[in-house]
Amino acid sequence: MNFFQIVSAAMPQLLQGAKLTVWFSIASIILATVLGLVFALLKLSHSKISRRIGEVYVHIFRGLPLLVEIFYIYFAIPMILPLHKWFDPYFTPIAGIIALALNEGAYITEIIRAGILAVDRGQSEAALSIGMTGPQTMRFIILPQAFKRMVPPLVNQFIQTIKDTSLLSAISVTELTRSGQIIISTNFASLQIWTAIAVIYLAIILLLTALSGYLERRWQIDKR
Amino acid sequence: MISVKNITKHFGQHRVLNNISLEIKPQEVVVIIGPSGSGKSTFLRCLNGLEKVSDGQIFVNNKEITHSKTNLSHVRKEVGMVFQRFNLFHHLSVLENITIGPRKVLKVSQEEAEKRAFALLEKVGLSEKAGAYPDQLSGGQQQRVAIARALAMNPIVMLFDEPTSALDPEMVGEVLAVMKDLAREGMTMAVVTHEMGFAREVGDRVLFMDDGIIVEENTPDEIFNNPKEERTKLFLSKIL
Repeated sequence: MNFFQIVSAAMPQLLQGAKLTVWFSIASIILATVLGLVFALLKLSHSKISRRIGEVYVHIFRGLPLLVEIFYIYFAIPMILPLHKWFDPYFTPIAGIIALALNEGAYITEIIRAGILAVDRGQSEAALSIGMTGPQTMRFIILPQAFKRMVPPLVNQFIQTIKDTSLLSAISVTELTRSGQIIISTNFASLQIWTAIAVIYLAIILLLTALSGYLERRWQIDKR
Repeated sequence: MISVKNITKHFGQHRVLNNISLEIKPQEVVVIIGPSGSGKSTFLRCLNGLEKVSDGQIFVNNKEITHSKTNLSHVRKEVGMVFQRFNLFHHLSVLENITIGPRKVLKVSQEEAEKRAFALLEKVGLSEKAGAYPDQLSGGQQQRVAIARALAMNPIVMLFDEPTSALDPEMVGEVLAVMKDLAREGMTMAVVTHEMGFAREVGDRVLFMDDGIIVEENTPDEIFNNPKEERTKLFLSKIL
């Protein structure tokens, strides 16, 4: 069999894996962004306790290797909390998404925090001066302006998240990388299959990059 | 309208405001002048709670804004402020800049808010700029939009913090003209400025501040033609 025959024979299984990769990426990106927003606001809060909670979160989940976090949630925590029984048959994907989201969320916390801090103080003063409350100021004035600046670093982090889903192969989520490993274990065509996997990853990330380029251009209307 | 009783403000060890008291009556235009670092902007920012006083009391329309239980956003609805650097919301169009306060804070309908915004834009001479974004406007235009944004809340008093200091000279006039109109219509105003012509023409009272205190206060005529204090004389001799 030549290169293309091997790859096209493996394609249905690889695309199945790619589909999982995309779903895991989307779920953990959404969850990580929510976590990032919550912990960024905590870190910027006036309350010392809130700030401390935010700091501890970032410190732990940015400080550990992602693979260790995945193993900890998948293998270690069930030793004391039978999560795998409660969430049976979905524990593996849930653990995977949560581990990814907690890790990426720590980085996103810092991205969002930096974005908020980069908005000129005069903006919030002006909002407060027309009687807006703190939360209204954040929601209507600060975040929309901060978000625009956050797009490039966020896209960076989302790309990182997509690639990091490959680590879920270690807890036997049959995403793209794991599907490839399974195929290779039967046909031993390492070169062909890993090449196909690489191309698929690049295609997914190219799609995301194109989408973010489009969004950035669209949000340039007011030149800020 | 505004009553300030013995306020003091520290930034760390530095005392910026030292035991200042002041009454501003309805429809009065009070102009505050003084060298930079004299505390005049800080003083103005205390009047709507953007700066917290270290000591003393401020009453706006008989509500004590220096009380810790006071809801500042309720007070600020009624106190308009115009900033040196305009501080228009960059992500919103001119129209949205003016309507967002009434819509989100006063819960006015969008239709109602826009109707009023167009009337205000006409008043400041910028009807044709409703759809523009702040960064497409000149400094003078931005400041006039900022005045319209503050007026959209129907404030009972307007605070101006060096509204023309960041403008190119040829744009100062258009902003001052809008402010003069306001004063003529009976708006209560406190204005920190270096525009002595404006102080003379529009001010009912001029305060000269230096080193965190009100050194001298009088009618514009008296302050400019017949200053009593040495420090006032020195300051005026440098700028006039």
